[in-house]
Amino acid sequence: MDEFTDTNPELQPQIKQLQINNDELLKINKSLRSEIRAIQIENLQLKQQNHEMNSQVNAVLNSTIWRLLAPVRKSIDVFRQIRNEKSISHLGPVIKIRKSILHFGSILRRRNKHDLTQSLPIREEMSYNTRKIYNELHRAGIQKDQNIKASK
Amino acid sequence: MRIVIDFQAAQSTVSRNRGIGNYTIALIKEIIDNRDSHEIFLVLNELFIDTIEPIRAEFEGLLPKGNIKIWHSSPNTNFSTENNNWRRQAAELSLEAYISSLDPDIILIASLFEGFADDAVTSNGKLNHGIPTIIIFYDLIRLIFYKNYLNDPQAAKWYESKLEYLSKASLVLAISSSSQRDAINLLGIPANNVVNISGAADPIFQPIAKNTGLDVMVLSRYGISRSFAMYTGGADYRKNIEGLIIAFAKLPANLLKKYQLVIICKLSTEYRTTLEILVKQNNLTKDDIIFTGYVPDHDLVILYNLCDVFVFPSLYEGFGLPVLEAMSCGKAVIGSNNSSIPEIINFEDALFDPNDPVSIATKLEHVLTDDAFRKTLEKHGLEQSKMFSWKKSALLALDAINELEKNQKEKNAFKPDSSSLPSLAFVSPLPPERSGISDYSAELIPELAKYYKIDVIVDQDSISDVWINSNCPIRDYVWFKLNSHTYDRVLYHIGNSHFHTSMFSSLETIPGVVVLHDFYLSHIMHHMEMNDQHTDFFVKSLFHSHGYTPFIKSKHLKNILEVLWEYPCNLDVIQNATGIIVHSQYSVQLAKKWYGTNAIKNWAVIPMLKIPAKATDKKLARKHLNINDEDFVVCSFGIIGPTKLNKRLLDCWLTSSLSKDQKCRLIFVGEYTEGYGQELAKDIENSGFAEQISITGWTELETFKEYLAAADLGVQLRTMSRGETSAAIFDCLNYGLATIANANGSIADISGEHIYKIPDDFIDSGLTEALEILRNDNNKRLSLSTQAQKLIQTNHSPSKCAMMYAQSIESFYLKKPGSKSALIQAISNLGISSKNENDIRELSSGISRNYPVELHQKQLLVDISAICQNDLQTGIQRVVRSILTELLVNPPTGYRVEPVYTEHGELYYYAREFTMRFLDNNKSPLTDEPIEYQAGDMFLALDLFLYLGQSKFIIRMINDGVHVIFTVYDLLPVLLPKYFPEGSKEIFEKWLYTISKGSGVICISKSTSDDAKNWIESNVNHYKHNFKYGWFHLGADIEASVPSKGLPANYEKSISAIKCYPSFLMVGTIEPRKGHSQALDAFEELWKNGTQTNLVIVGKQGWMVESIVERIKKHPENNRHLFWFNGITDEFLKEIYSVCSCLLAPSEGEGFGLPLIEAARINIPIIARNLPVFLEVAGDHAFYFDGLHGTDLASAITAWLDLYRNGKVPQSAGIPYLSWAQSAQQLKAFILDNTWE
Repeated sequence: MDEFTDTNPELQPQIKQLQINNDELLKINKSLRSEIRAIQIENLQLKQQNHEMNSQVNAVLNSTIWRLLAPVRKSIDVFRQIRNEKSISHLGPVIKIRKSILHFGSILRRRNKHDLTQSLPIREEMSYNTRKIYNELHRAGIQKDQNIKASK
Repeated sequence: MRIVIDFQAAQSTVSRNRGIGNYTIALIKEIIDNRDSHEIFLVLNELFIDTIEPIRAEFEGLLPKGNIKIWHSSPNTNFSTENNNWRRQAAELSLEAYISSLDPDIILIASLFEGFADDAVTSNGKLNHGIPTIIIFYDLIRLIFYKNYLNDPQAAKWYESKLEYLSKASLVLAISSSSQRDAINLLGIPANNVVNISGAADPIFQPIAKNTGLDVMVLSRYGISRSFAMYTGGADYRKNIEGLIIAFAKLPANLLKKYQLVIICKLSTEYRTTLEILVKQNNLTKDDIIFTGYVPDHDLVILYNLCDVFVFPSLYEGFGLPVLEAMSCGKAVIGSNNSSIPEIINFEDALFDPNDPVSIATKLEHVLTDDAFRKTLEKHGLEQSKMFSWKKSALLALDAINELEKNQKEKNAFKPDSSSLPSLAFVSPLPPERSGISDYSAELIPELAKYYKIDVIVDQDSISDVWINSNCPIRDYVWFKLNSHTYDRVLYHIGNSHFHTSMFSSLETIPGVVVLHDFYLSHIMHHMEMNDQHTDFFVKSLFHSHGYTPFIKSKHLKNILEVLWEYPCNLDVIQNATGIIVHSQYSVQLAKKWYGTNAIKNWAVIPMLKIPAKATDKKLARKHLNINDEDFVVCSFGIIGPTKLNKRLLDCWLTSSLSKDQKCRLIFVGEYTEGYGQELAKDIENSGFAEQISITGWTELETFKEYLAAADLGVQLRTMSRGETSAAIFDCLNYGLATIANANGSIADISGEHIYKIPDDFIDSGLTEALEILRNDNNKRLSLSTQAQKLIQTNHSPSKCAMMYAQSIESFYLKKPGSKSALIQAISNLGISSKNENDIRELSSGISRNYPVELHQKQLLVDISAICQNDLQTGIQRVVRSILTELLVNPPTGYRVEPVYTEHGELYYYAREFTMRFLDNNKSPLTDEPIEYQAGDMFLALDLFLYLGQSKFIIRMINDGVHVIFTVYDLLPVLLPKYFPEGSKEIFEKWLYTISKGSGVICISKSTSDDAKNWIESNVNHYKHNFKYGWFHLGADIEASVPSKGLPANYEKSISAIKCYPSFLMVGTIEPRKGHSQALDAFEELWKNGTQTNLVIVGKQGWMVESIVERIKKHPENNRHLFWFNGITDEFLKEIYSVCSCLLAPSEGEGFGLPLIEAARINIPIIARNLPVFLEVAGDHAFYFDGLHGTDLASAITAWLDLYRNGKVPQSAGIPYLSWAQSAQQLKAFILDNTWE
C-alpha cells in the first residue's frame, strides 16, 4: 500500500479488489498473447504453403511470356467482369479471344486463384507530402470554423 | 531581376493556336533573347500536358530546361459552370502562391482572359504576395460588343472577374495604341500604368519570288481561278465577313468578272452555310467567293503574295495582325478606320468605314482599278511594316519592366516599423527543468524581448525564472495548437532529451524556426518510441532520414540500437523548420554531410549566448568550497559519462606530476550517474589519491559558478559528439578559466588562442603533457584566460546574439510570401468541408507537387513491379533481385535507393513492405505509399513489366525533371516474332514506344543495346536526340544466389550413361527460339552416320514447344543417347556439367547468354551460334557455327569433334565474367556518368 491508501484506510478493500481484478486481467492478457502467437505461427505456415504454390506455378510459367501477357490478363479480367454482368451475349461478336490467349488465360486464372492467398500490403492512400498538406488544410479549415464560432 | 511568366496563353485550347498564343510565344522568345542579366522563368499548367514538350522544344537553347516550371493544378476549374467555383478559386490561389514561391521580382501574365471554356487559370491579387504583376493586354472587344459576346451570365461573370484582376495590375502592356487608349478610357487604368508595346508579324511573311509551278498548285488547291482580293482572320461577328461579301457584290460587273474574293479562315459548317446563303442573296456565285477553310502558313504566305489586294473590314481589332502580314508581303492593304487598324496601316486613304458596304466597295474598286494607287499602297505597306518587329516590342516591354522594378525598389526600401513588435511563440523547456537548453533559453528571452512580444510555450507545470514569469504570458501546448495562427513568428528550441518530446508533433503542424541544439536526435526519437506512446516513431524517423541503410547495417530491426549513435535521425525536423539556427559550423558540416549542400539553404550560425560573468572573488569562492588558497585546482564541468572521457582525464592526471603534488586537486563538477559514474568513483577510491580527487555530484547553479571561479584550470573532454555545443566549455571561457579541450565536434571551431586545444583523438601522454604545461606556465594560463573572456564579451554577448536571432528569424520569414502555409491559410478561408472532400484531396496532391518536400534527398527509384508482386524466381527476376541487393547495400553516391512498384502503371508506390521483407525484416512498421519525386531523381525500371499505362506517368516524371531509364533484357518478341505467341510483337512494340518517351535505356549487353537503338531510331517518330543507350553485363556469381540442392535417387545411372560418349549439353527452358529442334535434327543425322555421341537437354518445358517435347519423349534414342532432365536442382546440374564434353548454344536470339559464362566457370568447351551477343560474351573462347538446318549444326559438331580429339577446341576458361557487385557497378556508372539534361 502506498502513502495514499495509508492515509485513506477506508479505500483499502476496494484497492485490494482492484488488485485482484488486475491480476485476472494480466492472466487474460497472457492467454491472449499465446493465442496471438499461435495465429502468427499459423500465418507463417500459410505463407510457407503459399511459397510452395508459387514454386508450382513457377514450373508452368516462363518469366518473359508471363510479363508479355500482363495486358492480356487485364483484358481477361475485363472479359470476366463483363461476363459476370451477364452482358456477354451482346458483346459476343465483338470480343474475339484467340485460342492462344485462352490457353494463357487458364494459366493466369490459376495464378489469380493462387494470388488470393497473398495478402496485399497495407498502403497509404496519399503520399507523405500530400498527406501532410491534406491534414494541414483540414486543420486550417477547422481552426477557421472555431475562430468564426468564437467571434460569434 | 527574376521575371516569372505565366505562360498558359501558349497552352490553353482557346489561345494556343490563335493570335494570342502566337503573340505570346514570339514576344517572350524575343524578351528572352534580349534579357541581359534578367532571369526568366516560364510557368506552364500541367493539365495541358500535350503542349509541354512542344513548348520545351520551342525554347530549347534559349532558356535553361530548369527555367520552365510546371504548375500542378486540379481539373474542372473552368468558369463555364458555377459548380467549379470552389476549385477555381482554390486553383487561382494555388497558382499565385506557386508563382510567388519562385521568388520573382516581377510576375508577367501573358494573357489574362483565359479559363472560361478550359481549365487554364489566371488571376491577379487573390493572394496578397505583394509582387508587382504585369499583364499583357490584348483588347476589350467583349466589353465593347457586350451583347454579342457576353449574353451568357456566366461568361459575363468570368469577364468581369478578369477585368477586376486587370485593374489590379502594376503595369499593363497593351498590344497597340488603340488597346492602350481603351484600357485608360474604358477601364480607368492610370495612363502611366499602361504602355503600348505593339506587335509584329512572323518573318516568314515577306515578298517572295514567283514560282509558277508552286503558285499554280496552291491556287488550284483552293479553287482560285482568277485574280483575287483576299481576307484572312477570324470568323466571328466582329470580323464583318458578311459586310465584305455584301460590299464585294457591289463591285461593277467587269471587276466581278475579273476578280474573286478569297476568304481564308476556318469556318464552322453552320457559319459557312450562312455565308453561302448570303453569297446567293447577293447574286454572287460559288466561283466569285472562295471559302478556303484553314490554310497552313506556308500556303498563306504564297496567297498573300499572289493577291491583288488585301481587305480587312473588321469592326474592332486589338492589333489586326493579318493587316501587318499582308503589308510585310508587299501587298496593297485596305482596312477599317477603327480601333488599331489605322495605326498599323498608317495611310488615311487606305481606310474605309466597315459599317458601310458602299464605303468598302468604293475603296476596293479604287484599289483594283487604279494601278498607281495600288502601287503606292504596296510601297507604303512594305515600308510601314518595317516599323514593327518582335525585337522592338520586346525592348519596349523590357524598358517598361525595368522602369517598374526601379520604382518598386524605391517603394519597398526597408522602413522598420518600431511602433509594434511582432509576436513570437518561444517553445522551449525553461528553468527549473534541469536542462542546459532551459538555462540557455532563460538567458536569451529577456534580450530577444527587445525584438518580439514573447509568449513562452512550455510542457511543464511552473517556471522558476522571475523575469519570464513577470514579462511573458505562459502557455501550454494545447493552447498553442489552437492559437498558433495568432503568432507572427514561432521559435522552437530542440535538443536530444526528453524535455522536447512534445515539440516534434507541434513542429509538424505549426512550422517555425528551429534552434537545433543537438544535431543528432536519435536518442530522443528512440526514447519517445519506447516510453511515450509514439508507436514506431524512431524506426519511421530513422527510415525517413536515412532510408534503408541503417536497416541493412543493423542487419535486423531487433539490432537497430546498434546504429543509434551513428545516425542523426533529424530530417523531419529540418524539413518542417522554416529555418534552422545552430551554434557551430560543425553542425552545418554535419547537415551537409548527411543531407547534401542544399540542406543548409535556410541555416544560420549564431554563437552560443553567454551573459558575461561578473567579476568573481576567487578567495571567497574557495572559502565556500573549502579549497585552500594555495591549491592548484583542475576542474572538469558537466554530467559525468563515457562521452565526457572522465576516466581518461583521471588516468592522465594520475600519470602526471600533478598527482604527486599534494597541492593539486582534481574535481569533477557534475551530476553523478550510475554505472560509469560509480566506476569513476571506484577508480578514484582505488587510486591512492582519493584525498586530492573528488566528484561533486549535481550542484546548484550558484555552487557551479563558485567552482568556475575557484578553479585554476578546466579540462573539457568529449567524444562521439552529437553535434551539440558544449555549454560547459563556454562557462569556462566566460569565467576566464584556462581550459584544455580536445577538438571534438564543435569544439574544433574554437581557436587555439582561446583554449588549449589537443587533437580530437588525443593520446594520453598529450593530455598529461598539457596538464603539466598549464600547471607550470602561469603566463600561458593568464593569456588563455584573457583571450577567453574577450571572446565571450565580443562574440557571445546576449545583445549581439539576440540581434542575430532577430535578423535570422526575419530573413527566414521574409522569404515566404507564397509559402505553403500562406496558401493553406488562404484556401481555408474559402471553406473546407466534407462536401468538397474530393476536391481537397485533388488539391492536396497538386500542392504537394508544387511544394515538394524541402531538403529532398535525390532518389534512385527502382521499379521492381514484377518481383514485388509475384516473384516467380525466373531469370529476369533473379537479375532484379541481385542488382537490387547491390543497389541497396551500396547505393550510388548521393542517391537514396527506393524500390517502387505499380499495379496498373498509373500510380507508383514505394515498395517498403516488400523491401523490408527482402532485407529480412518481416515485421517492419513501414507501409507502402504513393511515390514523390523531384527534379534530379532517377527512375530505373529494373523489372520487365509491360504495362502501357506507364506512358502518362513517365511523361509526368520527365516534365518534372526526373530521368527515366528502362532496362531492356532483349528485343526478341520484336526480332523473332514467330517464336512468340500471336500478339506478343505488337504488345512489345507498344512497350518500346512507351519507354522511348523516357530518358534512355540500359541493356544487358551491347548487342541488345544496338538492337534497341536500331529499333527506336527507325520506328519512333518523337525520337529524341538526347535519348541515351547504355549496357551492362550480368553477374555470374551463382553462389550468391543460393543454389538449390538435392540429387534424384537414380542419378548415378544417368550420369554413367552420359559419361559413355562425348556429350553435348543444352541448358535452358525449352522454347522455340532456343534451337532444340535444330539440335535434334543434327543429332539424328550424327546418330544415323554412326557418330557415338549424346545430346543432354536440361530445362523446363516452355510454351509453343508441345511438338518438340513429344518428339523427345517418343524418340527411339530417348534415354540412350538423348536425355532430357526437366526441372532439376543446381546440384544435379553441376554433376551433369562435370560429365559433359561441350555446352551447345544453338539459340537464335538471347539478351545476354548466361549459360556460356556458367560453362566457362567450369571450363567446359562451347559450341555456339554465331550471334553478336555470344561473340560479345565469349569472344575467341567458343566454337561458332552458322545456319538453321540440322545438317549445318551436324557439320559443326563433326568439325568440333575432330578438334576435340586432337585437343584443339577453344577453351572457355578465358571468358571474362562479373560478380553481381561489378555488374551493379557498371549499371551505376551508366546512371551517374551520363549528363541527363
